[in-house]
Amino acid sequence: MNFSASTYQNEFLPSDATEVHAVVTVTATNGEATAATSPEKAVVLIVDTSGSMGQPSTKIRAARQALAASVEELPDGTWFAVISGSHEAMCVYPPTYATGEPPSLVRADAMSRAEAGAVARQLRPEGGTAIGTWLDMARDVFAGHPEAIKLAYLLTDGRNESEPHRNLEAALQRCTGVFQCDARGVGSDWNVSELRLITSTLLGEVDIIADPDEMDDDFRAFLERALGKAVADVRLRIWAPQGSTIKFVRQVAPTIDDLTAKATPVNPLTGDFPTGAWAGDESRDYHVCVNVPVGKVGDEKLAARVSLVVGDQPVSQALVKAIWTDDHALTARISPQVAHYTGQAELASAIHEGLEARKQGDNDTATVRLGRAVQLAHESGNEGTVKLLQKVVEVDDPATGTVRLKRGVAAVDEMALDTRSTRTVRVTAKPAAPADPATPAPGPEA
Amino acid sequence: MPVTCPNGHQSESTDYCDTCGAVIGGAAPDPTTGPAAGDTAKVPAVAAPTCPNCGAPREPDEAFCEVCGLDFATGQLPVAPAGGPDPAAAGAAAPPTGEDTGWVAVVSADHAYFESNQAESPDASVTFPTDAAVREVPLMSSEIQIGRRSDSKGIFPEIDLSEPPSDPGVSRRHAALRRQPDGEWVVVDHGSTNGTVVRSAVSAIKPGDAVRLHDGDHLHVGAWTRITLRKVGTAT
Repeated sequence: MNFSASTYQNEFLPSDATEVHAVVTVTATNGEATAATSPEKAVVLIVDTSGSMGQPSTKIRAARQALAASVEELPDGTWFAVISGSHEAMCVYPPTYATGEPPSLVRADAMSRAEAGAVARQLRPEGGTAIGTWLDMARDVFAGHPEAIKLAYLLTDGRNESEPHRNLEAALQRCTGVFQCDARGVGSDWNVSELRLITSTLLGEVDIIADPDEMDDDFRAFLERALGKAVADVRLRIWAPQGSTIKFVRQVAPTIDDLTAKATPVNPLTGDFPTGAWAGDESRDYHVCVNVPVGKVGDEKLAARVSLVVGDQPVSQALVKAIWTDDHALTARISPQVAHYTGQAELASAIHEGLEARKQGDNDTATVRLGRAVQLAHESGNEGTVKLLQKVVEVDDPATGTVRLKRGVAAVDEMALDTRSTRTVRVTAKPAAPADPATPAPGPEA
Repeated sequence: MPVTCPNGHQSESTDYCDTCGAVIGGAAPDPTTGPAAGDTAKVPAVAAPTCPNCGAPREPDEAFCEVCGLDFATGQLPVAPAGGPDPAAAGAAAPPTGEDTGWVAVVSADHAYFESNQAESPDASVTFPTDAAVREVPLMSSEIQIGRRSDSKGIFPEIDLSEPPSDPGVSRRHAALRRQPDGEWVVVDHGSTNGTVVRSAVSAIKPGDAVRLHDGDHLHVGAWTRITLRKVGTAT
């Protein structure tokens, strides 16, 4: 497994500028990854079995089916466990509770797969929802396998209403760095920000399963991704010079996730930002912004050294530079990558603010922000987001962001937009981005 | 083996100093002046042209100093030198930093202008905004930029035409209004893509030329934007 990192930026700054932006693309490629060198994989499937999963019963039936089918397909040797979650958590497989042993993982083989499938088919919906207890149980289950790549999948259909919110926060704190967790909300009675808190803290992805029929595919897709991971605990190690501050570090592709607050200091000038486990064929983009002390015209300085660290071993690095110049032709250029991802980040926040305003009944703000979102999604070729937006607004003109709010929007459509608003597209190879100079408009001959 | 950087730091990295980021062993003279280092900056061998008034670096073809506003041709300063319009820090939404000049720019969407443009070179991708409100931008410093805001490029024009209804025909750095010693204004086009038209002239003004504007004069930029200058107060 090899990593490479490259920087996209305009390193030329006007004489009074201190803010340096760069996009760092990190790509993993399968070198000679062998079964012998790649670590063990452990997956924990956490399924909501609260009473609401039985109303309608299509939800629990789909969950039983999806869960059974996926455990029955686990490859030999995968470590796994199944947790049933309500107002309390129970590790239903392996059933260590029956013998009074502490919860643990079990290796997949013909017998364990069959037993787990049978248990999955008998899950009954009753009780409340206390997600913090589910996460704590997962942490206990994973405890015996510190070296494994540890991924959990959490499925719920409701809000975390059987425990105070601080319990969830405390559980998340205990689980941080122990395992990664994806979260799925079924239907429209769950809370997007609650699940986003979980996945943002535990380096996972949040998504909506609007229709229980989609559960089967989603479980499979999760396992495929999980089993494809080849390296655990990869970190971005960022050094910035004395007197500077790292303004933000953001994953910007495939989804937007702010890593700024997750830094662990390595030394006074260096911090580590967690990125979780990587597959052998993955590529992600990071937007790094550093405020450096102002330089004089002609100065060149390193604004950031971005290293990729596996274990404690730097495996690749990218340099972010700053060169101060009074040549406007140089400083006026903009890195297309930086511009693109700045737009994608604005797109996500425009959607968030638009939906929030709509909830508050502020239709003017909602129209403006969602209109801006349509414009940004359109400009950047983010067709997935355009489609989601079209379910919430009538688009009169995508180029100018002229939209009208739709009446009677389905809750699942609004939540799908909210949940998927952080998905980005990469820079398209369009010949001429209309950013600058301005798009040739009908105008007098200049 | 540690090396010593131009600012005197011991560095394990041999490309850039791992304390201050200065280039190590670079051939080019590197007058680094990080506040972190109490260094002795070398002066670049080739002196760049500077403003005779404030010493800021200037471009050979610039008519005015970007920092203090000195008119290089006449040697005159603007009547009220603003605290220095700082393009990096002066956000469009930030409160105006300068003084009230007693003038406003009235920004509106001009349908007749839009139509005449469309007649000349039709472009179906541009549609006239139906709900555009008329905006008044008080001219709070002696240099007012006209353009489209770009956070990534650090462009925050006072007259920001990226705000709804965003005019797609306006360049990021389009033009500037500059206050003259007599209190009146000129407009200078920065070499915008689609030009600036003053008082509905037949052709756009030449980039870099300062064109006088009087109370009530208007100019057009982009696909539909009309900007009218009005004297509203009796500021000095």
